[in-house]
Amino acid sequence: ETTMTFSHFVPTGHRVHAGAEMWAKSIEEASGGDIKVRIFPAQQLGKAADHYDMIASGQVGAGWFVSGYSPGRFPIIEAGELPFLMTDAATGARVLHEWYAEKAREEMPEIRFCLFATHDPGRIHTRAKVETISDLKGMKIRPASASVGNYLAALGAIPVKLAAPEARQGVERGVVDGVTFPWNTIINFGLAEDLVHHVDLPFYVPMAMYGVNPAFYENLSPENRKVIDDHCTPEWSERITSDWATWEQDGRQELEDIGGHTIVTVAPEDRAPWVEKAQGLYADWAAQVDQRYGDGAAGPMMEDLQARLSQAGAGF
Amino acid sequence: MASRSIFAVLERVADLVAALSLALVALVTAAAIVLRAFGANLPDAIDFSSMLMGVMVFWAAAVAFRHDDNVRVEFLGSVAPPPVRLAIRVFANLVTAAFMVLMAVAGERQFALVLRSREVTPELRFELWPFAAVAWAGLVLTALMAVALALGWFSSRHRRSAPGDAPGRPGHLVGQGTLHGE
Amino acid sequence: MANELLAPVGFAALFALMVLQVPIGIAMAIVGFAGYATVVGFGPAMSVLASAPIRTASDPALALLPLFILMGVAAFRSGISARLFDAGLKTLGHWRGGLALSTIAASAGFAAICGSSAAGAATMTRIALKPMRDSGYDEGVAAATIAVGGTLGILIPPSVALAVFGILTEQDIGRLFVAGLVPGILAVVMHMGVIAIISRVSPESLPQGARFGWRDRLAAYAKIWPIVLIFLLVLGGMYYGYFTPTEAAAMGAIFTLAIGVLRGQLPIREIGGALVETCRTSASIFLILIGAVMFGYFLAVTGAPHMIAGWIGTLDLPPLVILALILFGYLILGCFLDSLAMIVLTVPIIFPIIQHLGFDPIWFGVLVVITIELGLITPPVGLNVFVIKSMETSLPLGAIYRGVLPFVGMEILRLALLTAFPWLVLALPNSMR
Ligand code: NA
Ligand code: NA
Repeated sequence: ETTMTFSHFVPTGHRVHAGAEMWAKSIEEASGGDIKVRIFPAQQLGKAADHYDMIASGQVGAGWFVSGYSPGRFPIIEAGELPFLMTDAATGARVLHEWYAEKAREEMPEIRFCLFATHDPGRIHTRAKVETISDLKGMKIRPASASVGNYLAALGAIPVKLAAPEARQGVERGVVDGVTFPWNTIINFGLAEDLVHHVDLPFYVPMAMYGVNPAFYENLSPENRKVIDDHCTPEWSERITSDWATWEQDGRQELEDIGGHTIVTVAPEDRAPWVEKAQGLYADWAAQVDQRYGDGAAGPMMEDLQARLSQAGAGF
Repeated sequence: MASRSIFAVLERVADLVAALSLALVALVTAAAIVLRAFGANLPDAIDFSSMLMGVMVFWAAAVAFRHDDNVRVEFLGSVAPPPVRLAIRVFANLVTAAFMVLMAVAGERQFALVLRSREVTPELRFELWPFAAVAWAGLVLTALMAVALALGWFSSRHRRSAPGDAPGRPGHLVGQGTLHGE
Repeated sequence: MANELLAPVGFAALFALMVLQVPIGIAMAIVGFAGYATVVGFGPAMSVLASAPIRTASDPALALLPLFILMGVAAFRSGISARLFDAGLKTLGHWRGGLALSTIAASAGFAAICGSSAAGAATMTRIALKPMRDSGYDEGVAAATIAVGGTLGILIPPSVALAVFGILTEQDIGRLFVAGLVPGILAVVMHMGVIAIISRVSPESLPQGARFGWRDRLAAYAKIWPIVLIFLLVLGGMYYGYFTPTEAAAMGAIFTLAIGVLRGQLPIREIGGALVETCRTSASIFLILIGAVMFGYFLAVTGAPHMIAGWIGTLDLPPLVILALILFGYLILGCFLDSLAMIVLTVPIIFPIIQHLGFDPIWFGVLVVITIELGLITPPVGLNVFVIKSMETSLPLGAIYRGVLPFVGMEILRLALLTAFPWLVLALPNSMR
């Protein structure tokens, strides 16, 4: 019997915790109780930004981490964070998994990449109404990540970085005029009272994933290794992400039910100006990957990814 | 004594690095507020000020060891007879020095990790490793000061609290903030 | 050995190292490291030792600590404490126990700009002890007044202790600061009440002083307006949401330095000295925080906190009784332990229980800080008393502790009041947006 410690950095009420519990239960059952999974939530074992290294060093057997917390370290997977890459996170997670699994061996050699566990594409939520890009000019928005911040700056907004616990205070006290989050998080973080305008344009997905410590994996019996392999598949990427994404999507309906909320939907034919503002980020990504992996490396990677996403019906 | 003057110089350097880092943290934070009021963003403000804080803490810690200014529980020190008190203090300083050396060794791992990771700040994409290097240097200096303190290399003139001193000096007792340079 | 049993062993080792005078932060780090290596392995423990110190030292949430400390140091170096004492004296000096009342008033004013308790006690020792002695005050009562006045520093905002509580529990630090205001003012009133009672009971120990006219008073007030301004800037800025607590701290520090320089109270070259002093103080605080983080990881992997929280959950006691037991535990611990170490060691274990019982986290934070503050003046390890004693070695410890006693009684009464009427703490923060 082996115990696998699994660490993440959000409170137990968060959907990430539910996803980890679902995954852990399935592993325990599939191994006939041979692998016990002990989940440590809420940074009990380490800071959010250290989770990749915690998995790599064997502080934990497995864990959930966000690659975007270490810009520049995993240049290829930064593609997944680019605005307007995918419309559907669950399908997108499966496609990304198929695309990235091989590349992860090179880009994340210290861990065993396991699966993507991310959320429904995030939207812009504001205090004042936003119908066009020009409405965003000068608005102070708390971005979900650095790359979202760069995109907001390209739109003419002012990205104001606030730590997660400061986000709510920042909104309540008017330090920021809006945030980027998926739907239900707005309600869950208590932001729905202030942020009553929403731009329904699915534009970003953070790159959050599970990793497994290699030594932990090697020390397992062949049968148990297979159990882990079976739980680190594109299908599991889709399943875990779908659970979170569905929960987030329910938030849209809930906001409409609460009343007093205005949701401005950007129709597919009106998306061009929004998408155009992200082109610089795509170029920056390509330049970065080319610099690390040789000229001309980025182009085919991106084409391949976009083709796979379109084929699966999750492309933009 | 030559070694004494070397430590005096190192102390001044440590004070300077720490004080400059702290001044920059205050200025960067204030500049971010002012710019925000004018509708502009100071790129990577939080990232830079966080890294400067790390530099400040590790270099200032070196000075804390130089002056034996760490927060201790003085209970036994106030009741034990002087020879026992001295023995306890020597023991404590040796244990502390050994651990600080281990921490400095571990610090090299952290620096190597940042160097290898090629991590950058999110907006300006400024490389992080120089900050990690400066912070680690502060940690090495801190370990050096801890060793020097444990081996009794500092003359008591430079210590605010020699082993035999009366207990209850603000220097060791103050958890909420010491008043230095009084 | 079961991992859960390693937790009490770790605590025992920690207390042994602390009694043997290993610095508190280092002691926590050593036991945390050794315990983690026992449970998880030496390699992973080295990784924790590599990352935890720098992650803690560069945690953006902690940036407000050195900035608030800088604000207090700058105010202190600008001589604000003497001017506060003078203003208090001109207003209250002619009452019975006037000098003691002035000491409390000046301590409260200094607390409004300085987040530390010992700093307040040290500065008032230098300023108020001699006048009180010269006027024939009872030494014990005089020193006790200073020690008690110092405790205001960690309740009246800004407060290092409340900020650390907020960071550990992910509570809004601005809200915590605002919540400390009314209990702080209540403390001032009650301490003054104690002085009034003592001066009635034994008039010879607290003689009366001269009365000053309004002209003198206004002249004294004119010298303390900057502190009022900065306090309003910092607290108002957070209350109305102009800045985050970190930004408020930066603004407070810069304005305090600037006003000191512009009014000629702080020579420009002194800025360097203020920065150096702040860095040294911050380093000793951060060493404690780093040690606590490492000890916390060790405790987490033993599974003990989880077990304790579960056990308390099964206790069949009314929530208020559990709360009272917890506060009583803090009171006892406070007799021996450093207050910051106490917060960082215990709050992560206790806080989930408090949340589970349904108590307001802000209210609990204020209660904990008041209880810990009490520990600063109680024997055998009363930090503020030691600070005064170290500066005036001729003062007998016993006399100071005797002088402190009536104030301790009043503090317990205040704690009971705030426990019985949570709105005293919560009305102000709940009115914030
Ligand atoms: Na204060
Ligand atoms: Na005490």
